[in-house]
Amino acid sequence: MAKVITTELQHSGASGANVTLDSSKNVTCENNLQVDGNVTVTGTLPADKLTGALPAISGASLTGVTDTLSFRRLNINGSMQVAQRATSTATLDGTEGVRALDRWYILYSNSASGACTLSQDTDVPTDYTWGRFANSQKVDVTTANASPSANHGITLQYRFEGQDIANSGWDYTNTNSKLSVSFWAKSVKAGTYCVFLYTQDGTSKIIRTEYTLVANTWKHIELQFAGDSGISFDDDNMGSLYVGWTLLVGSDRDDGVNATWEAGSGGDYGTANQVNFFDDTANNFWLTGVQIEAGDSATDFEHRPYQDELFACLRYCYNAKGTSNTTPPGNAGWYSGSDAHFNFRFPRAMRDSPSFTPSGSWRMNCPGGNGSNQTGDLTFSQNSTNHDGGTFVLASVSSASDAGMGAYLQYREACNFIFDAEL
Amino acid sequence: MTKYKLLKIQGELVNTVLRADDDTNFNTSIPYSSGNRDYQTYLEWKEAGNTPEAAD
Repeated sequence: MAKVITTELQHSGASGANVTLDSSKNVTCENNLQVDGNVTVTGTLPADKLTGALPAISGASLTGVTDTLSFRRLNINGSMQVAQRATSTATLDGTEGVRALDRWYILYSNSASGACTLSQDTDVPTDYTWGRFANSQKVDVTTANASPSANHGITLQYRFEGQDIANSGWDYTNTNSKLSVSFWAKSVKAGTYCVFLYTQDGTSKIIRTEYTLVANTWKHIELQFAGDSGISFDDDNMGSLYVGWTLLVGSDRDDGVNATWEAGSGGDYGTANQVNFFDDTANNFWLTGVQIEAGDSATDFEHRPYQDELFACLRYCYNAKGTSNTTPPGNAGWYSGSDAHFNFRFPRAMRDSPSFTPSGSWRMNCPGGNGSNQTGDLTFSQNSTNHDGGTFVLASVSSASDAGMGAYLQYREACNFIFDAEL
Repeated sequence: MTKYKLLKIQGELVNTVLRADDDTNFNTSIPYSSGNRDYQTYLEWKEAGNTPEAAD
């Protein structure tokens, strides 16, 4: 084979060498280099040599990229860390709402029969490709609904305020713009399930997309939902977008076409392929690593410290819990007639004026004589529209103290004082 | 069955309604706020022809 030994290669019309070769096997190209085939680099490609404009590279092609875009996860408590109300609770029709893990809503549509226990669980994926998790949410069927009525539905939902979608960056009326929903799921019952988006503002619309699970196997699901010209989200604090995990649908609610926006009035949470997860009390479903974000593809789960997740959750729920002989934070009070009033501020402004549900026992304490232990007669009134605090009123206080005397509220056993401003 | 009762503080009706989930203990205070989910449920309950109990 012929070999050319030289130090330079030069075009006949050029004023100098196009390519220079040296004894160390370096090659210097003096101007543009065009490669029509592939380029393979087995050595290093130092960043300081990439001084020109770089090509646009899809983020989906990159690996080892973690948390470079903070706050891209729109939902909170996607890693199922926060459970202020309870770490386990039984649910059925009539007890809908956020019952265990913060922000996660169970809905029994049209008085659907069946029951389940929602709990924080430690069964988690062992594949850490999308991040590692310590908790999941478990749905344990305790009463089956094997033959649901046509309008029945049971869904696990995450509900967004309108302002959190309107300001998310998702160009939601553009069919080329996507909302990504990614999560880990596992179920005792194999088959096809659906995730849906249900809009509340303007003319309600719904879209659902199928995914499949193998029995007893964690699977990472990445779904993308295209925008639609007919949907809208108000820039306010009201519920506007419900993202739901369908567990049961009757025959009137499984008419939805996969990945297609339709009128929301029918409440088609599923397609005809949706399994009935509630057909057997042996069924369990686990969910964790839920990340909802604007964009064409799912990214690694954005992990946040517990205190940040908790603080975000406090906008929707605050449990001012305490133990025996302690006091709720920030209370300073006075006494008037048989009613004792105690000012109270939340650790952060809540989404709206919250409902208040206390459990346990409590009493009014004051220098003139402590009241008797009470398990009722404690209400809460909002002071202003700032949703940042209000006044406890303890009625029927059994004390001989004079009106105007200072007093404070005291827990007499382990108490939960739950303020709820959920959607 | 869920029941509701109006609330008086120092003899005056206030913008809060009490709810009993177990038929006896009115231990949830619900503010009259349009953004409160429990208040919306209360309005639907009234819309269905129900009437809250009078305040104590």
